[in-house]
Amino acid sequence: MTKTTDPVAINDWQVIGRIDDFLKGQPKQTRLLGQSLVAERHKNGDIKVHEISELGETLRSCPVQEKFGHVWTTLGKPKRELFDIPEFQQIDRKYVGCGGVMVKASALRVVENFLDIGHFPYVHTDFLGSEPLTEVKDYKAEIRIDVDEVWADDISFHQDKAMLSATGGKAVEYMYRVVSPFNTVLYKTCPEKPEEWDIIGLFAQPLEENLCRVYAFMLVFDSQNTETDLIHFQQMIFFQDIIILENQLPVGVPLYDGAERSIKADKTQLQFRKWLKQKGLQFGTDQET
Amino acid sequence: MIQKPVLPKNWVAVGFSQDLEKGQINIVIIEELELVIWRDHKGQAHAWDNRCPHRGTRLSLGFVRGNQLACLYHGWQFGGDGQCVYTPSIPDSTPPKSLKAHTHRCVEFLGLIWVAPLDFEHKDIRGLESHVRDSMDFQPVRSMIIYCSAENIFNRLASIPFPPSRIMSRRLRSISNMRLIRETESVFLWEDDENRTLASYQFREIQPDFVEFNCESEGTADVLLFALQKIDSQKTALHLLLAPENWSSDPISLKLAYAQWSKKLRNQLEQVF
Repeated sequence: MTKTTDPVAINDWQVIGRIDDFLKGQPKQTRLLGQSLVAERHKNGDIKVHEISELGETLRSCPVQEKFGHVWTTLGKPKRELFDIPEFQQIDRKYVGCGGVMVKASALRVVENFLDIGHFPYVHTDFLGSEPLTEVKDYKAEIRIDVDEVWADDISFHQDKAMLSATGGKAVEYMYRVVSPFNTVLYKTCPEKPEEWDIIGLFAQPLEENLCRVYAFMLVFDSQNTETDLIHFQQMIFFQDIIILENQLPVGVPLYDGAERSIKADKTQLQFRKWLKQKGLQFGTDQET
Repeated sequence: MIQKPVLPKNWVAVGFSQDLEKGQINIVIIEELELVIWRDHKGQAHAWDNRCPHRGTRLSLGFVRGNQLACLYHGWQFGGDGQCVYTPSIPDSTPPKSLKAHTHRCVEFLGLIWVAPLDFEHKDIRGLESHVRDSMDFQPVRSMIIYCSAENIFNRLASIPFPPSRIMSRRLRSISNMRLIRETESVFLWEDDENRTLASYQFREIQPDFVEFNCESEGTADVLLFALQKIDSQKTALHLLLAPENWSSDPISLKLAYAQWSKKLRNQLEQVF
């Protein structure tokens, strides 16, 4: 496919890889919103990103920034700064980048699934939930106009193995924060430091309408487990999700009425869809015929 | 914008009943529409759009739990009529009547599973039944995918193979010079050098994509049924049933003879001209 014409997706910051993915003298080609890009780290350490044509000719150059362990660019003129995740400043947190995983799905389906609690007992059985404790108790979800984000909190759910550092099943508190259409973080009870939250986030690189690369990361308090073990746990959970994500029809998230039915437990997703509709985002959505 | 696929307004055979056991879930495609076909523990077969009304997850990933189909994603359970009866996230509530899977008509007849849209007016498959010689004992031969459109299958019937050798005498098998003649639109004859008829095929369309086919040689007439399932513009599934004049003492090798003959048919239909 060719570069999207969706101004909302174009005029926003998007992830294109981990900082470590771009090494000096090793230009890398990638895709973003249907457009081919080449990114190269120069001798002075700066990364330059260019759009390239089908024939490989260099076209316009794109702004770049390196933040949150990842590299960000835009195909347009963002109306606002890249979002902030202040917990990256907390030096006692362990940062774990899980790497990029290609998913044959719309990046929006990936974000929606991340916001979903009800699937825990069925997709992550005996880790993030199990029958018969399937109830999603009432919680709050809202669009926060002042920060232009979607938030959900007051969530509590029984989990058998909530984190690698968790011992035994218990009720786990959650908060969700959607910072931009393809990027989201969650806060959950920290087994090691009950007064803090552990953070798990997803940055989804929308390659095509039906294809994305998902970079998961953690900002946790965990003095027991190695980085490798933490990555393995997170990847196992995410690979369980991929089974679902690559089997949703239509591929795009439908924002029009009547296409998909929701229940009370889907509040966060309904706020997310409403927010996307208000923004007028098209990339990764399903259009009514 | 891409038009979303819909079911055609007629009965379409999607496979043999014997290939769908209790508790089993299959995927079939009719004219690019993906369906889930599943059999509950009472033995009833069901045909629905292969997507959960909640988040579009393929229901074929799910499980048959008793007489309900449970979606893998959130465990929602649907009864045979498509009605959602249980949403585990809110376990104590009764789902609204409007919360339903996208269901279609699904019946079994002649050992085949047939699907039609809910608004198809000839909802009684027996309308079809009266056109088939129901006294005959039809048995499944095989289902196969042919890389050819259903229209082309009919256009290319002139390339149909000679009857299977299993049902022919040694005399017939020894004849090498024979000609295929299209006598009428629906009658094909094989003749030898002296214009004697060695074998004949006669086709009769029972309904679109469902054809009865009489295969006669040396005084024996076998009846075949071709049930065609259009998958897309280049792919068709053929479900083949056989009712020989008599099921000889060795019915398996008779079926096998037609099964092998059908592979020859497929090879010829897939030739690119």
